[in-house]
Amino acid sequence: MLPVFVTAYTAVTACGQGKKALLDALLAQKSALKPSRLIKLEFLTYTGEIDSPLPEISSALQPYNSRNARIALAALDCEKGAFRNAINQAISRYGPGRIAIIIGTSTSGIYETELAYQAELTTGIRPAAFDFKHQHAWVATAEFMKKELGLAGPCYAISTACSSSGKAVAAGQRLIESGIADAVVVGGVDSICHMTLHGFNSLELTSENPCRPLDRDRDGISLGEGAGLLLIERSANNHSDVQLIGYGESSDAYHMTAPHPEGAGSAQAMQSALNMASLKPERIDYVNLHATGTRLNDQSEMRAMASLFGLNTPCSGTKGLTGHTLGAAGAVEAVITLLGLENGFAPGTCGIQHVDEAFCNHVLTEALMLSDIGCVMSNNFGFGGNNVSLIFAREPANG
Amino acid sequence: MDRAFMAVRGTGISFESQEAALQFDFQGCDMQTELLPARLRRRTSSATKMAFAAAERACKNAGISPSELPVIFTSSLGESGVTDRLCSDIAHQHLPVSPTRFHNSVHNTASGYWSIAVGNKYPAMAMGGYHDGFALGLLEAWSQLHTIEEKILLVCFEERLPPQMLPDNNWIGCATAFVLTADQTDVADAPRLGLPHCEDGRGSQLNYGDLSPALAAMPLLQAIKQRISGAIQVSPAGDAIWFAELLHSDG
Repeated sequence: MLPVFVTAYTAVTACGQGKKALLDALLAQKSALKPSRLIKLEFLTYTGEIDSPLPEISSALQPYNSRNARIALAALDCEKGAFRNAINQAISRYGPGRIAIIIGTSTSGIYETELAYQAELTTGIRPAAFDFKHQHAWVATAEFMKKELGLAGPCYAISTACSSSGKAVAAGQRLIESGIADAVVVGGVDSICHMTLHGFNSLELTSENPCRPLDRDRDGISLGEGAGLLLIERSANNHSDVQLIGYGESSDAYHMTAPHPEGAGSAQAMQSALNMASLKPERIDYVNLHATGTRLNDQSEMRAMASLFGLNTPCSGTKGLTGHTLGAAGAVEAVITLLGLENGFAPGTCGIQHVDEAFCNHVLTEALMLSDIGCVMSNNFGFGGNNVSLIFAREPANG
Repeated sequence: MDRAFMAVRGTGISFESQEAALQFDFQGCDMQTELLPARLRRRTSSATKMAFAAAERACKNAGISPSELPVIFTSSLGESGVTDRLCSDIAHQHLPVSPTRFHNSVHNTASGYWSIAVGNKYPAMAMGGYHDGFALGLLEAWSQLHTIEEKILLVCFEERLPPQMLPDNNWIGCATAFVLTADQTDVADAPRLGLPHCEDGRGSQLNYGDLSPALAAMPLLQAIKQRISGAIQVSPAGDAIWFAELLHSDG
């Protein structure tokens, strides 16, 4: 596997816009979950919604105007456009045709479609601004970002539910290794919408409280929204000593919504990632778990962790901070993992009070300072038994 | 072995309607599939049934077990009919929504059921690129075959979009499937396909893909059938068009 350099990254979540806001929230372990607000619901649930104002879409790209696109634009422009600036530098190095974009999403701009259906039902008129192709088709937000950034390489969306953007990172590496691109903007964007709130509630998977991943008393998820973006490149260009050194993907072949009880598929994804990186499990200093906060998901993942790593590898789940950002979770949590790697710490598990006694793993309840942190893993698992695991390293892969 | 190409080991197609199958000279290529268990057949969409039927035919055609193939499923919105009904349920306040309908709305519904039905633990990709979805699926397949995988099942599927989502569309419900391998040495007579590339679209030919994104694969299927070599258009007409080089051993 050809390691690729992560030369820039950012995230927009309920914790705020940009790396600093997320880093501060991680270190302070400050949850951004509040009772659901954007959408009026007949049931109680907490959500990680982006309350800070989102930027407006330019007039030239108005057909793409959706909450999803505005969240993506916020990620490009926050912190004085730091991420956009990094892409502009890559464009000047490689040319726009050598830069691809792959964006994961679980529901794309469905929020606009939902509003359009409601408006049409109430008024009998289809809203003029509703544009399925540019707002809701899977590739809509990726295409918006491609145009906004002036890229000319391949552009597509990946939608495998909650593993979408983890898989986008893996796909980006392949485009570089196979010679199709020299740099790839990879990541994920998802917004709060009616369908996921109602759908997870129907599946009895939402909690009435802020979610408590890995907790003895955990009782479901809190949904979130956000964008996580990474720029990966063939060369470091002296900007970065952080690399993606391995990934693993697998299918459970078990059930559409329930995880394999022993975590066989997730263990397979983690093992494949270790094999690709040529690392023994003990070389991993921290694992950011998928840890959604449902009874079965967390149990399945912890069994997979124990089978592969034993009980000593520090691990935690961070959805108690941001909520579960679904198709963006892989990229948002890759960003969280990278923030830990670059700032010398492993995040804690926000919201946890009593670690489930069944989990003898080294669950971090509080952030742990790790000045020599070198290799980190981030896991994401989705409906359909779709699993992905990523490994990032701060030192050169052979160092 | 020529690393610039991948071998086309098997192909398959299915249509939502018999009329459409006849129109494109694929009589009998309906949505029937042995691999989808009866209890799932009742609760899955045309999109999933078409994807299964085309994928099953491609695997049979290739003589490769479906449980041995990593998969890539590509579509503009995947489960558009299920999504349409959910949005309608929510607008009408028909709550709570059906939990089955909800989990059957994710884009990897077809690939998820496929992995369960055939016992496939290999990676499953579900992607989208609207009109360029088939071309980009080929590109994703090419990148996988040049990095980690030796063989791939690529399925491009599309339902007719619900009119409330896209008024006046005449998309034809269709799925096409290809079994592709990196190694061409033991299949010297298999057609070979290059990395799709994008060209300025001015002056291009109209393509079946203008009718429906899944039909973008039709010229390639026809060229394979007729053993035609050359640059085959794999996306609809537009500002930028995708082509892939097809080679036959005798051409």
